[in-house]
Amino acid sequence: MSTAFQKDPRSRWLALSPTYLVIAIFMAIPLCIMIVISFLEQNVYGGVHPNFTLAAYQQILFERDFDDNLVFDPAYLIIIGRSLLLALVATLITIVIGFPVAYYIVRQPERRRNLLIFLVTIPFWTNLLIRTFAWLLILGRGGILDSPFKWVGLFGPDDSLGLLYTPFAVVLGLTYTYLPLMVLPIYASLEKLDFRLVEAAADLYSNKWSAIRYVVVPLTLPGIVAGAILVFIPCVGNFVTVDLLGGAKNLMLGSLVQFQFATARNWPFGSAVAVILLLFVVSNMLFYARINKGGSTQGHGS
Amino acid sequence: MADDHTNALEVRNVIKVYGGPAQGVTALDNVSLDIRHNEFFTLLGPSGCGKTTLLRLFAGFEEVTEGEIYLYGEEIEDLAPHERPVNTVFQHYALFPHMTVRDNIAFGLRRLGKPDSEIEKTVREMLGMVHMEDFGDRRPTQMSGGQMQRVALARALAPHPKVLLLDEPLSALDLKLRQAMRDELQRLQRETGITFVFVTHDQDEALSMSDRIAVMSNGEVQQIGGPVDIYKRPANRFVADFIGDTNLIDVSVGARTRSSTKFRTSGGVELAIKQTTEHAEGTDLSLNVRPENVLIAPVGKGKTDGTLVHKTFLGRTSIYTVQMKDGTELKTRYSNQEGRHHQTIDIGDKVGIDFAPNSIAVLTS
Repeated sequence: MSTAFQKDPRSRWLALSPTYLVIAIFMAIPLCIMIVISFLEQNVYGGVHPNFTLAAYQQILFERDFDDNLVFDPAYLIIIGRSLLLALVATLITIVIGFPVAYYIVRQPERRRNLLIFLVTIPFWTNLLIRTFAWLLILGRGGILDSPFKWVGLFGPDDSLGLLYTPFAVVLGLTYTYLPLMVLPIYASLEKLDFRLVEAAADLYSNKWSAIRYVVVPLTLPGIVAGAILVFIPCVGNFVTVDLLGGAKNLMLGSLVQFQFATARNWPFGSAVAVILLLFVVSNMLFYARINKGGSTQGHGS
Repeated sequence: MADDHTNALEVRNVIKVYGGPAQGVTALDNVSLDIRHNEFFTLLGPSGCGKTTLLRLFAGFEEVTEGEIYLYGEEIEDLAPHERPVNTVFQHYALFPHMTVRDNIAFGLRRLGKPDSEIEKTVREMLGMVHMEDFGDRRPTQMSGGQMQRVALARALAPHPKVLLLDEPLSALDLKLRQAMRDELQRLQRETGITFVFVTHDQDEALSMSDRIAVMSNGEVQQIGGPVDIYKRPANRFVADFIGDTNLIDVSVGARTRSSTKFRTSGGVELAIKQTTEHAEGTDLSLNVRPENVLIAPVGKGKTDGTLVHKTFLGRTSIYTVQMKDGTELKTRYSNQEGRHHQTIDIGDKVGIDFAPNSIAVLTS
């Protein structure tokens, strides 16, 4: 099919040029602008002054006290740490929920399988903001989860389980939001799995758990890793869910960036945080590429 | 293990129905058979006859609808596959692609919790047994079909199962390799002393390797016996037709004397055969004659006369098709050894048709 393109590198470049153009306009150039801004001076009225400075990066670790000395301030490191931790927890939970869901779906008859996969994607059809507000109604003071306790008289009118505005609520919201992104890639790699291998494992004295552990999971690892990256990265950068369900106490990286641009008017600092986030994402992708490469030499890459 | 008179597997009135009870498909219809300790037993039949279903019931991949299965006296039909001391060689090998050959072979032993030293020793033995010593660190994806087949055998034999189940293991190999693997399988069976249950639709495979064969069709066992038994004394038309080439002649019993019987074909040809029959005059029967037992004689010297209508040269042998007066065609097989007279007869020539003594089997069904 592509042999003609492979023979003549010039025509291949030509054929791919729209792709490169799109990548350049919508990705490379904005990225460069962001990186440049992160090294410029803040303009308190918005925008930047064109002077080179590392102040934005400094600000991540240090703070100026009253005497204008730089002192170490862990506030932003705590935010970064919290972001990574909550995103990691949400990712692990989506694996724990998503893998069995995908496994169940793939063992269904084909027609039922397609229906179930369609159902998994249904939440994407509704606006994320609305779906997150629904969680507010469920978790919030006097919400659905509180009401049974009120009815049986355990709660006074002002009592609540206090679920909203906690790390729990954030993880719940992130898990709920990104679960389909975990189910789909795992499903895709399970669908390619030869289930006769599971039969062979059972024949060779594996119970259900060891068959999954020693045969199914190793062979679907590329799908699990892909799902983990698809979930982890937007979790770190998410600000809608985090703001609504986490409140002011649970600030995460995404919210921090959004706050710097929209409210604090500190573009360089917002960009610097975004660059840090980007570096993290890229290192994740490299890790994935390595795992996937290992998988494909074994003849079952995703 | 058990003494020679013990049965490795006993199948008692097993019924297997796929799908619901209302519109289910019956794969096995009241099957009973015994497989003896340390024998090479073959389940032979056309596709859809239930032979693979029976094997999967032995392995535990399917559940019986009714009936019992005993493995060395122990009832096993309700056990999960991993609880049964039997192993399977799969038709498409089903080797684990993410593991080396060594890890594939060690897989069963590891799940059984054997100590590492024993695992290592057994794996080395198995690699030697299937002549794959140099392939221990390769992955199955880098190997040929024949090599994968050997690894699959080694993997299934490594835990030393009480019975080894083989599901058409040679069908994916090319002809030369297939024939080499036949000898190999027989050797492995003798060396290990493990009972082999082999599933195939290939009668040559069944006849050449087995101690005993169960011929199956439509979910029922048609006949169980040794290869010679099944070839020479088929129990019914299906077995006669399925095993080897044959001629089936529809006849009714005619006049009988003390030593011979006259059979009359539906077209009126009379065949006087030196063979007694207990069937009454007028009974409808089939005569089964193998092509090697149909002889071409000079005109008038055979049991009846006919015409040569077809010649097929097959190398070692030729098949000649002769037509009796009533239009029935009989195949006869002759060796192409140099200097045989019948090489000179041509299509259209009149010939006599004779049968080798005691070569005709009378079939009632």
